Amino acid sequence: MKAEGDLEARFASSLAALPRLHAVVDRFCRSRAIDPDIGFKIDLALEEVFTNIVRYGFADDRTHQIAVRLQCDRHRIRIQVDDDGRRFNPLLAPQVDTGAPLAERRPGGLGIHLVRRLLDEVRYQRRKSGNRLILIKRLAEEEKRT
Amino acid sequence: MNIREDKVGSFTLLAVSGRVDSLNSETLKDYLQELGKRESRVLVDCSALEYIGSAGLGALLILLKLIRKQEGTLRLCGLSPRIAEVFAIAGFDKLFPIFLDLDSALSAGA
Repeated sequence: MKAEGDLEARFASSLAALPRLHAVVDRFCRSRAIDPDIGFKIDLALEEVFTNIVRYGFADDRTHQIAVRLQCDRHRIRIQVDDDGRRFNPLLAPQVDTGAPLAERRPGGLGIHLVRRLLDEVRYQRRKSGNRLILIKRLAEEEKRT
Repeated sequence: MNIREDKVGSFTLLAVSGRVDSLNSETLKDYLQELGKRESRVLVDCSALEYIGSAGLGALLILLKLIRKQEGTLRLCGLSPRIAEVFAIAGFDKLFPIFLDLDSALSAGA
């Protein structure tokens, strides 16, 4: 059941949808008076998740739908991202060694590392209908604007 | 995203501003790849950079590798606290010389 105050939006599985995704996150954060620093983190994390799904989540060239549901209460922001692609768990990607010297650093793999570190919890579920990622950002009371 | 290039003293000053996301990061990557082959002293001014994701960070990493290959100098300056946190999470604060502002980056030795 959709709780009051949730925001749900569907996006085409294309990077061209990113400006709208950012706009939706921005509208959600503003309307719920979420601290802009927290808003920045969930915006960035959601872009990384979305980009990963668009790039690696589908086995064909068809345009799919990616559903994003944003919920917020006093304690946390919960974001649910659903797609109908092949089994794809970004949390299984190799961890980036951020302390490695330059010669060993590669541009890839940073996205999911940022997601894990910017948020408090990231969960993956494989469902009949596809993949579901649940992203949690906790809100300390003092972090919410009054 | 906007990219502006100038010469300041011995440095090529690159001001990257606005939002660098997965959609426009290829443009930045192409620019930095070309820059890293023709210039050896580069200062990237991030003071008007509002947002950067992993794709943009990857483009900066490529630039750093190209500049180091020619034993040059790459400095960053003007990171907002939000951007600085993203750099720290990525471990980039240990790879890149990062200065508070343009003046301190330009006046630092060598």
